[in-house]
Amino acid sequence: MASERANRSGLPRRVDAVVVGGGHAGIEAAWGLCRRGHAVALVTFDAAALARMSCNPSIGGPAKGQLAREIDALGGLMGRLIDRAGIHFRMLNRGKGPAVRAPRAQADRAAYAAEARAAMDRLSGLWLLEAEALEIVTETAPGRPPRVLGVRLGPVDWSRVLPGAAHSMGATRSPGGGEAGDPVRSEPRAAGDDAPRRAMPSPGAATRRLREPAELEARAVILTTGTFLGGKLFTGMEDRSGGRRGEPAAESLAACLLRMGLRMGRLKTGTPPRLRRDSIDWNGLVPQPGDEPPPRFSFYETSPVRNRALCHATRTNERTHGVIRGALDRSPLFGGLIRGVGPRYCPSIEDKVVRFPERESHQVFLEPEGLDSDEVYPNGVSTSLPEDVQVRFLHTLRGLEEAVVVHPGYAVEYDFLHTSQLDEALRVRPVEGLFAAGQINGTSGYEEAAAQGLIAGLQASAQLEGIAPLCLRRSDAYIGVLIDDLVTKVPEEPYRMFTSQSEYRLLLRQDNADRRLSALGLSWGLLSPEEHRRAAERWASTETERGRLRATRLTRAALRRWPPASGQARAEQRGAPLAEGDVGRSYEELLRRPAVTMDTLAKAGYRSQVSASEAATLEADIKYAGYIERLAKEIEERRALEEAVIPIELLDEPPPSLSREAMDRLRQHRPRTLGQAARLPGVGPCDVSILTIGIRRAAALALSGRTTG
Amino acid sequence: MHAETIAAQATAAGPAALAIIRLSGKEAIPLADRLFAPAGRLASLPGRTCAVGFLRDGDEAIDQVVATVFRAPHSYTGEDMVEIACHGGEQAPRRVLDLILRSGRARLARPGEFTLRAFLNGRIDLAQAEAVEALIRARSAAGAAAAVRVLRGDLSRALRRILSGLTESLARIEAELDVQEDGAPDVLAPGGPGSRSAAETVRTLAREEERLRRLLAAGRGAARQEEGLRVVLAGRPNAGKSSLFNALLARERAIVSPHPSTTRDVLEAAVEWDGLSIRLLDTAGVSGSAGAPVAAGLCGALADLDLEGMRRAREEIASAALVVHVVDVAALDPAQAAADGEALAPSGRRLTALHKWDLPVPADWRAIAEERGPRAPFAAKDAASDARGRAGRPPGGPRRRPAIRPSLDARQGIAAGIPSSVVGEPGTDALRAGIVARLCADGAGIEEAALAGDRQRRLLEEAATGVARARGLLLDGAGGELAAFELRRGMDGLAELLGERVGPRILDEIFARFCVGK
Repeated sequence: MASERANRSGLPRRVDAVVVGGGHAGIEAAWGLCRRGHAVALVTFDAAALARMSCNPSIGGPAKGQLAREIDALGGLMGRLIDRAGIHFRMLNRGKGPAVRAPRAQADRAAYAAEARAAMDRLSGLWLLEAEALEIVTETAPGRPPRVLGVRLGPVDWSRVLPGAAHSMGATRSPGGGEAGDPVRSEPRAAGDDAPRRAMPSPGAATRRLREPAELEARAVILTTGTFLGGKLFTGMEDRSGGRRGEPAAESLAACLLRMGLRMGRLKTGTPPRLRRDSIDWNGLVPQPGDEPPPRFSFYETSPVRNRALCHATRTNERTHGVIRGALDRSPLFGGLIRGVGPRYCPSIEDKVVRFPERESHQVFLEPEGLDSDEVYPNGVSTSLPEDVQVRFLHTLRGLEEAVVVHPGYAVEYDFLHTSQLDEALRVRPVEGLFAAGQINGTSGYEEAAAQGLIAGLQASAQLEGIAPLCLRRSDAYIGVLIDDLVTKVPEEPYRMFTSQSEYRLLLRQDNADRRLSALGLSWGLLSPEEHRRAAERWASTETERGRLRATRLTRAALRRWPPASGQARAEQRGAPLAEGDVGRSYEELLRRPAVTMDTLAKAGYRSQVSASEAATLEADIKYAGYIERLAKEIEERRALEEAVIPIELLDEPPPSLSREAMDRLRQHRPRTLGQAARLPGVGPCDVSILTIGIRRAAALALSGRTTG
Repeated sequence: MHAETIAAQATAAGPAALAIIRLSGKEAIPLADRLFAPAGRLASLPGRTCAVGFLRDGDEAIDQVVATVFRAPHSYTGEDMVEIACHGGEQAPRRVLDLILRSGRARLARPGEFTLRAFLNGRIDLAQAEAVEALIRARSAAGAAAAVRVLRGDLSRALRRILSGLTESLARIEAELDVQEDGAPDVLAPGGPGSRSAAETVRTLAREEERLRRLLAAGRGAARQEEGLRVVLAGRPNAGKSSLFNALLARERAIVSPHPSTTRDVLEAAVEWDGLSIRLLDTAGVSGSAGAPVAAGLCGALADLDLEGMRRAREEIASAALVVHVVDVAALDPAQAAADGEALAPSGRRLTALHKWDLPVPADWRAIAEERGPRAPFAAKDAASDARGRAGRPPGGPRRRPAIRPSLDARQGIAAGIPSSVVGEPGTDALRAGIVARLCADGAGIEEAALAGDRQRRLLEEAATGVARARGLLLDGAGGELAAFELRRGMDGLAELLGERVGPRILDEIFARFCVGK
């Protein structure tokens, strides 16, 4: 199906998988697929904008930091990229419990994109195509869902065979021949090995221009379209088609998905104006340095991370709010132009002023966009008001009196896929071979997107290889929570991860993500044995240290040396101070008290033999020990529900005694397990009981069928 | 085979010659053997054989029993089992069960757990599984899971109120936890974090915990279902409830006087009719349709007392297994009675006593009683009798409220009423038999209600514990994430109770609720 010209230009006719979109989801998907040895084409409008941070220049934060750490623990890219491109690292919520502590880093936006590009350039088996994906080509046969055959591309402006790519592309070496499902595997190599194996051609040298549309055959297509699908940008009462500032929207693909009969909806998000750095009066603004030592994201990288920039804080005031109130008639949000639903947790400044009239001020953080960048990102004033209003309200803030707006803020409205059409492998059920990840699934945030991208890439690999899909449960990872929420909840606003979304928060911590996931990363070929071994050593030494703490008892001498409770702990009346009666208790036991930390023990003379990060894990494990036991019991209790697979026949023909709503939901969402079914809205205990019996019956039938037949 | 060994009495409680205590699981045979004399006898028995001996508690012989040993997989549950047939009644089975449970090697079986194990071990065939499914279907069609049956009206409203208070507290705790320290987050919670202090959260939790404890203490439904099926006498003041109560009990229990509203508190008595344990309750009079005190002439403290009595009456009515609507046929016409009845309780849980039938019975009542065939539906005749009723009384008469339009359902309920009297004919025997028949006809419902009661109490206790712990953690200055953990677990219990969440024990509960076999 590919044209001759496409062949002559060096483009393959066939790859194993096409990833549409080069954002945070797209690069992780391509990474996962390539690491498993598949030939992949990543199609993007602008190859210089890989993993571009469209909004705030930062990674992490509560729950998002946990996601980023999990992506890294599995062997994904995000943690490694931000460790290299980060310029300001903090551990948020240090004053709160370990389960809600989360790393967050400001990135040098350009460096982050460059690191992403470098990672893609090093990847065996990847084709990076600068083009528009116009259409998903499918094949329909009667009685079967349509099947993906490939992607039709617009004029390809740029194409390049990456070094190392050609030799691994078994599927494409003989055009038209061979099975794409049997690609030559390249041995997964250590991601830490970042030295390019060959001299890289400069992009210019390798550029080939193609003016003709092309078709690429592939058995799997992963859509990671971000805000580009049917994207529309709003500033004031003006709107224009676009996926991001200065970039076009994917209109043709949006129309194609509708033609395929997929249920689509509209969501909205927004971004603040960008300010010129030297137009801000930094004097008198409160500087916010990073933490020392800077907390890193990656469990496996060893290159140093450094704080190289400051953030600053300022606030809105009554005058700011007055300017905004006076211009609401020119807001597309309140003027009714924007139909898509925006996130409640990340509202525009006009939204905040209207919905919380009692608040006199909102905090605004001024974040550098990069070390060499002239631009500053004012976090907290996302807006789609007209540009002149943006300038006027910004000028009422301290330090911004004469700020120059480089790019005005805007809102973007885009198409998303109703996730009832997704299964837990992120497959778009109605079309065989189609996957989706990121904002197209109604989520928001780089971390949420990257997590889905990584999973979609692995699941597509599993499909290509005919192996069992990867399974992450709610109790395994926030990634599992995210995907389960996507397939069992009915989206009302862009989905963002919070730690409260997980019932297993005390288990799913950022500090133990490697313990939870690195074995999986190893088995899926994302981590090298060496990386996994290092992680395993860390946990072993943590356990050894725990044994020491258990064996060490409080002596009278140590009690006399015991540091007094900190001022803060005293003020909060946390726990009772140690007393004579505590002599003889083990340090492990003492650590369970809120006021006692590894730090306290150190001050009392205890010599820990583990690193600070291991000590943090240990402390969390001990403080939460009782809860962790209870959680383990709960997980065990729910296992029967989570492992009960609902037979297809039961979904095709639900028992008539189910409630109407339950029946509709089952048909729509087609849950795989009883646990998923139970989480669907409208499915009650009675419905689950009926399904349970149905499952048992089906099993009994199958059994009797086997024995008699 | 399941890890835990379970034990329970397999026969109905109450007076009987024999009772059977059942044990199932790995420990069943060794445990029974240890308690059995002669020692070693049971351990050596082949499957499906029995031995006679004594159960002993140390040196003391408790009872002479017959123990039957079943060896896996040839038993009801598919596991090793022992069935101990001991003497019946109150004492013997309880002592035997106590002895077994005290050993620490077996726990009390949950309702339906033997059946559940049988099912899980593949001991129940397809036909039986189908029967279970059919049962569930029938029950779900009725629209009320057991919990809902117990949870009507006041209680479920109270739970919802508590849940909403807890949700607000959790939102506040969560907002503090998930707050992003970068500006965007100050609008997460309804009021925004910090808009209310932690102290306020602690106060809210204390308040809701107190409410939960009060519900538990009141033991509405749950706790008392265990003591027997609650049958509540209700009706207008002076309808004769107390004298009927006494007559049914055949002893003077209530203060009986000819003045309205003599019974201000709820009187209770335990009876056993035809082997059913019944808790009979006499309540203060409530005027069915309006719900306002009828004795409006009372004033001050007395009126308050009256209101309190009526409030309690309504609570009892809400949680009763059966409400006996006592109608003074001399004082109410059928339409009014039907409307009262409808306001009291749904027809499925209500039986009408056409009381004071020994006095001259008004024509409209007599017509209903006479025209009603043994099983003839009332519906065909209701229009006629309604018309008759209307014609028979002057419009706007003193006892007639023109707005009354009882539903068909209510009128049928009235037509199915059972005449009764304290003296003379017809007496109370027919009513008593009617009550038993209704409770038995709804036998599954009874079981459900009792089980639901049990489950209800357990979940309420979980909720109260969770809230108490959350509050304690906040007070101790422990992390909010721990308080949130406890609070959530408590709230999960409430949501499960309200049928809004599927709990992890659903599989057990199916069999607890929809028990087949025994």
